[in-house]
Amino acid sequence: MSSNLQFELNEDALISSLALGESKALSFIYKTAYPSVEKMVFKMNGSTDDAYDVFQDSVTILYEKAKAQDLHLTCKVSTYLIAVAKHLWLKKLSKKKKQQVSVLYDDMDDRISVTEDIDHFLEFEGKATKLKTCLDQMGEPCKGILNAFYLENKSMTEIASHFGYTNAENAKTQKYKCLNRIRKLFFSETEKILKNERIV
Amino acid sequence: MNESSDTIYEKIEQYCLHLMDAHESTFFEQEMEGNPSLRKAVVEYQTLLHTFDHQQSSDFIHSSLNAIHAQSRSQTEIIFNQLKLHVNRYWKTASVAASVAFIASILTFTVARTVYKKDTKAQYLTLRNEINSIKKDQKAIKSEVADVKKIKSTVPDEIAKFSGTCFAISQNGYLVTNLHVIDGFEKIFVFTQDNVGHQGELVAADEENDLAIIKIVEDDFSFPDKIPYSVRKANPNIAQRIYSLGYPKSDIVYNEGYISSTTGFEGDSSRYQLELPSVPGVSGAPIIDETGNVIGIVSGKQSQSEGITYAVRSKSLLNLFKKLPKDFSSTAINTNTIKSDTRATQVKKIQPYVCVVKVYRN
Repeated sequence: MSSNLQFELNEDALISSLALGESKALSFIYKTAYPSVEKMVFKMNGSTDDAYDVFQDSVTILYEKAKAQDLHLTCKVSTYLIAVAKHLWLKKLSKKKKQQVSVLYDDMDDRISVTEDIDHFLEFEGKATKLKTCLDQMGEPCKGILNAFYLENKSMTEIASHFGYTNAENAKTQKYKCLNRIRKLFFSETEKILKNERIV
Repeated sequence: MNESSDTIYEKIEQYCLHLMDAHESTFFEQEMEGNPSLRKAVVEYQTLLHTFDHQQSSDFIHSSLNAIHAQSRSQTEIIFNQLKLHVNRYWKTASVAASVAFIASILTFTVARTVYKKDTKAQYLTLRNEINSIKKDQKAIKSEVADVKKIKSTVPDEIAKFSGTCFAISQNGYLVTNLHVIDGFEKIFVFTQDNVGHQGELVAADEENDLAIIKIVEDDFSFPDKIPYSVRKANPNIAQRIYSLGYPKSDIVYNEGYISSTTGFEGDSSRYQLELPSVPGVSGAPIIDETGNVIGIVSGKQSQSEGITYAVRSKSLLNLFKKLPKDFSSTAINTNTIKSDTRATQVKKIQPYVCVVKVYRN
């Protein structure tokens, strides 16, 4: 209860707590913003699952910005989240229907610019999907080693013992080999896709 | 990249993760400048790193929120299940408790109803006269209508549904009143000072500001003289003295007061608040300043208190003039000929231009 009150009075405290990934910040955000997001998505022909999806993405955007100390809000955190969620949902809707969905933007949304944040997020969502495909293509042990190091923050010693290398140094050499492979795969894929697009 | 890829990657990684000291990183940057393929590798490595970071953040948020989401979803279920369990176990006690609660709530409700007979919440009341609800008035108006009928046969042979006040804005029969007074009624009659009914029609309305302009349909209708007052687009000031003329009953009634706030009910900026006694029937009455300018129109009052009245700004009325046909000229209403008269003389001159408006169901 005390942290709720603290966050309500001091949004900077909320943002720094979020940047640290503290669960009290996330609970507070969930409590204050999720109901409105759900209502908003319902109104615009979405389901609970749709609402929860865009909410998760919006919080991810907020979290990444908070972590990078790149969050300069001119409004309340919940207002920002709702605006982001609304734009994300509109993008999803227009993709689904393959046409522009015309929805009246209220004044509030126009004053908060979120398109840049959303575009950046969507760009990296695309990259992350591709990264996953590349990792799947490479198979083990590269997939496991890279995930363990870059996603799970495991130390090289842990990785060495887990993947059966005699020491951390050997595991490290293997990691760099994997890195080289994934780099080639990831970026050559881009070129292939670009070429395909040009042909089409 | 001639070096073995392992060592070069180690360097790239150390550079990107800021693990190099200042000297090393300057050296590395210099090396990059002379080696485009190394630079490309660094950029690509950074993109990969950012993508991994993004994936990590996204995974983290998703799993954290999933926990919170699941908890909040299940909380309602838990409460429900617990309730069910308790009811099963203690259904006798529960039923006694429930009936006690039920009786208590009924009691509270009854007591509360007797205590708070009046709704305590302030409500906005429009001031049209609901004649049907007041039997006395009904009788009075019945006889009045009968009288009028003798003079002018066009007035319907029935009791008026509502009545309000209106005031002239042109000599040829344009009058202003509140939209709520006449809204939804076909038959509108304006009764001039001589108690003659003239049929009117709605020619312009502003729903938002509750304004209506009616025109007397008779071709030869004319007020005896030019309008003595002007309608001024004035910014009201707090404490400014004002007065008003209206028809809460069959005779004209004079009232005076002052502007108490420059905003209306719950901060409505299109209105302002007056300290002026108001009763049903004065809706549409002009608010006149000390020099004889109309600066607003009475529109409603706060239900809780007697003195507080709300008025629509004359600015909205002036805007509505633009919608009127060509035989209305707004210049007719911008000269004030009673500026230097005493209050009593002003009122005497204004009186013929303030009329009763009545509406009939059929």
